[in-house]
Amino acid sequence: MFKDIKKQIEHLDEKKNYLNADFDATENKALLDFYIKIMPKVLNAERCSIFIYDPESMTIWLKGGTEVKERDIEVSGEFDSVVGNVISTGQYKIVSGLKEKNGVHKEIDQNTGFETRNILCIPIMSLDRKKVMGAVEILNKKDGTTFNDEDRILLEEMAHHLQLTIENIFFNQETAGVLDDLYTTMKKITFISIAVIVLLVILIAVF
Amino acid sequence: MFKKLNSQIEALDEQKRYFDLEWEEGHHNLLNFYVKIIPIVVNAERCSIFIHNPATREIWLKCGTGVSERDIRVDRDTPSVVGNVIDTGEFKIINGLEKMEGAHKEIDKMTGFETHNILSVPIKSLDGKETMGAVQVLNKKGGLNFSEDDLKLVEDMAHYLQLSIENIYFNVEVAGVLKGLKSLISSVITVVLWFIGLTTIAIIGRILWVGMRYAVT
Repeated sequence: MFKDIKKQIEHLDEKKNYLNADFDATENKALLDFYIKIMPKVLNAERCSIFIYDPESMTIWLKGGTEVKERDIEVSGEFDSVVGNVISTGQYKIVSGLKEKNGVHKEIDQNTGFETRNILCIPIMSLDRKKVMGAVEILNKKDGTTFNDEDRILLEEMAHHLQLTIENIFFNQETAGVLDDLYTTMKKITFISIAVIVLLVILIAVF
Repeated sequence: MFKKLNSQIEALDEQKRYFDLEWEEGHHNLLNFYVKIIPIVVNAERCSIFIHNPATREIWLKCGTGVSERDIRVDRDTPSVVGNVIDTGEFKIINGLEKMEGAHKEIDKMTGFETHNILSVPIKSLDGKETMGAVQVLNKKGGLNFSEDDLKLVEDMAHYLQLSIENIYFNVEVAGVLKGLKSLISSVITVVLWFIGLTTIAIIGRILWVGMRYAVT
């Protein structure tokens, strides 16, 4: 029985190594880059950005995006931007006519050298739907139209699958850790049990 | 120590419930998602996902655009693009299929769809040892042929699909082993406690017996 479990754990450890190899090596960058590449294609838009929210420092920072680097954009304590508003309310936003409007997007446009005309921004929710983990922002619908509900539903589906994949990988890393701890505990308990039984047998023999 | 582990396992169990909800019904949600976005990304008409059982060499259509029936088995005796891709582990791009004979014609008959060109890529296991299936994209729109860029995109998508699926299976496997290990530890503790209890009774009995004998004499 012990041997079976040991074998199973070894098999899982081996599996975990190559499951994580893909993920750890680039700190999930490859997966994010893949989604950043396909999301504008699916929605026929120009750019896509993924923002992460840190509730402790109340900071929103850019994790990745089309032609921008990680942390190129950081919004600290300012939630009057579209992404800030989406994260604080947990509700999506479709905004058009941004070329004529003033706001945080103009500052970001200045930094990135890109002109934003319209935005579709949705929150990335935790799987239990209780927390906002970040946001996905899609910029400039290509055909001159604006984003619609169909685009929003498709984007929500993509963001959900991205979140699901990332949480699943983290969950596996966590369970594998608990499994190791549990196996160590089992070894300790077995050792202590044998010692106690031997001691008791000696005691019985003495008496 | 055991209490801490127990609460960790309970927390993980709670979390696992969300994944189970998502992946129920043979992770069709995930497959449907890929079937929906792949044709949009490469500007094609349809996409199908085939699953391969390496032990039996069976291949079946698991999910596809406009395919309501699931699990259509691919005849392995008739040469097919998907069969070839799975056997060789190499991608294939084929044009002019409307003039060619083959298994695609049979599937076309079943689905009522005419195939002009195919981009088919293998879905490889993450350790690269086995081909688990194939993603097949049909009919590039605008009368074009599939390009190297399309190939790269579909290969990436096949990889991330496999990453998600292997993570789901790993998840299920770990949960099973955790459960087994937890019940094994409980059994060991129960046996030891019983042993300690019985031994204590035996020792106390022995002491009483010796004491009584001493008192009598």
